Amino acid sequence: MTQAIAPQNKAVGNTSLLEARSICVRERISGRLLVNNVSLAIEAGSCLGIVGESGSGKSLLCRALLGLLPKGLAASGTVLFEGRDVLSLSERERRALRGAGISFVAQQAMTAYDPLLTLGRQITALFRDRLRLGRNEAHDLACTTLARVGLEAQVLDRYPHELSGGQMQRCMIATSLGLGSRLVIADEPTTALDAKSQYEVLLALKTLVRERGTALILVSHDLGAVQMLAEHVLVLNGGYCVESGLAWQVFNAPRHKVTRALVRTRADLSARFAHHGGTA
Amino acid sequence: MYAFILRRLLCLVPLLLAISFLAFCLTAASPSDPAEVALRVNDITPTPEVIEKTRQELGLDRPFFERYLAWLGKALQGDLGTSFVTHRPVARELARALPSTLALACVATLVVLGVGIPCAIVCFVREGRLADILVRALIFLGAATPTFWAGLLFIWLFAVHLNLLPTGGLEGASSFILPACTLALPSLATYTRLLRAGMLATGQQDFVLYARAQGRSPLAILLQIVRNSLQSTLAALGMTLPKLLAGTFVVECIFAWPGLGRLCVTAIFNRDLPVIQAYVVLMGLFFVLFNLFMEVAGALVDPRLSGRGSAGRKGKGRPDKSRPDTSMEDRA
Repeated sequence: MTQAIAPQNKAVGNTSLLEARSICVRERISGRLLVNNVSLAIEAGSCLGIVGESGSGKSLLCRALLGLLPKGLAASGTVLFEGRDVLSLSERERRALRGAGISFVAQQAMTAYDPLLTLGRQITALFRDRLRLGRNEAHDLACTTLARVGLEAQVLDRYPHELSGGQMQRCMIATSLGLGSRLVIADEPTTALDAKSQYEVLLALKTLVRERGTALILVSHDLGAVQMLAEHVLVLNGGYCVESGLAWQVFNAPRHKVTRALVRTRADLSARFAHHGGTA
Repeated sequence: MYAFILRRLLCLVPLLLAISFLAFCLTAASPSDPAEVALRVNDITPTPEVIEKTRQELGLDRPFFERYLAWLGKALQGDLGTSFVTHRPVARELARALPSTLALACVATLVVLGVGIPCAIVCFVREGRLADILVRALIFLGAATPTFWAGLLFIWLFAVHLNLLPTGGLEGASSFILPACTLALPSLATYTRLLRAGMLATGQQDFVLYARAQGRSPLAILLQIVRNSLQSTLAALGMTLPKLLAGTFVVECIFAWPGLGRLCVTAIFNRDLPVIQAYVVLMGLFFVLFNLFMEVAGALVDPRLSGRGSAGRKGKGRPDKSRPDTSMEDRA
């Protein structure tokens, strides 16, 4: 078994915004471990990248941190957010923590909002619900935060099916901005987006971290995206943390074969595209 | 939305024509000679001469299509023929019986929705627990009970034993309760199970997870789930409403309810062909209209079905990326 190491030891300690120790996720009935003894820590204003192949347990780890695992799965370990253990809180206390404390940017942008309501109604309802704002204040806040991620206020009149995946991802980031989330967990936010949209989403996330000092956990297949934003990286494989550390160290001198394979695959793909681009 | 409704209304015209033609064919294909039937129900001995004379009076000596077109032309003006038995206009007979059946079906629908939706919500919220199991067991029991038996049990308990409600007839609001509950019982089970299944499926969708991850209140999330699960219920309601109208026969007989079901059954026993024909067309019309109504209601609930929204209004497909988007590159 691999004992997960917290990325960058300085992150573990009293200064950490979130500290997860020995997180395990298992199936209730079979007892099968899906995430095994993973630890991580993150400070305010920093970004932690979680990379790994499909099925390595990245999304489950994120949902365990949020206390939102699917039915039939159970998490154990300790998830300390600002000193409070998320896993031992009641559902009511966890709900109070979500949004303003820990926010989420979902992978499936096109299905992340209620298809029957305009984005304006949904975002302002969320702000009114969570921040106790009036209708006009919530609307103004929504317009302001959308502008921060490069979207115009017209988006509020649109239904989810009228926007692109990139726009929807940025709406989610704007929502986290509006809620003033202290930690955002972005689960593969650039998957299934075109290159331009990917770039815009990453810039929006960068805004979140730099301007608001929000901590960001970025889960991605895309090592380029992680390199762009994350200072620390955690590599998952088969539910285990196989490597962690500073991003530049992990990507430049990978120690584990899985990390080496991920880095090599990305390098090969880049070289192939560069080659085809050159001969075109 | 108006274009959507107009398109659907135009589609109804050939469908209604087909229904009327089929109804006409069915009565024409009846093994009994309508002229002979008309004589027999009025206790007139059907001699060949009298039959021939009646055939001429009823226009039965004319070719089939000519008769159909004549009937259709009159029907469009509200004349559905004359009853063989009562010798009164069929339209007036139907108009007399329709309101009470319509009222009964509407009250039964309210019972279905008013009890079915809360039951489905209870089952969803308490999924797999005692309340869910109990509600589903009761509903299963209700669905498995034949309507006539349920009606008799209700009469025995609430009218005879407890003496709370009338045994039958249409005498005030209280006389609706037992027939409406009896009529609603089989549909109640269907709707509760349909909505429960829909809510469980919707509960797994990404937008529910996202709403929970942002800390939205459980009540707000529940409302989202219910609203998103109503599509299948609305579609089914389009079929159930006319089925409740057409299926009131047993209930009307048990509770001596003066409605369409009894009128139709009496017409069948008397072979009163004009009434049967008009009843079939009327029920076809109800099926078609209620389906349209529910389709419009579904489109009103779901903007994706009606092409609503600003992109939809401009006749564009999604995504409409250009306008609300300020390039982030300038902000980098």
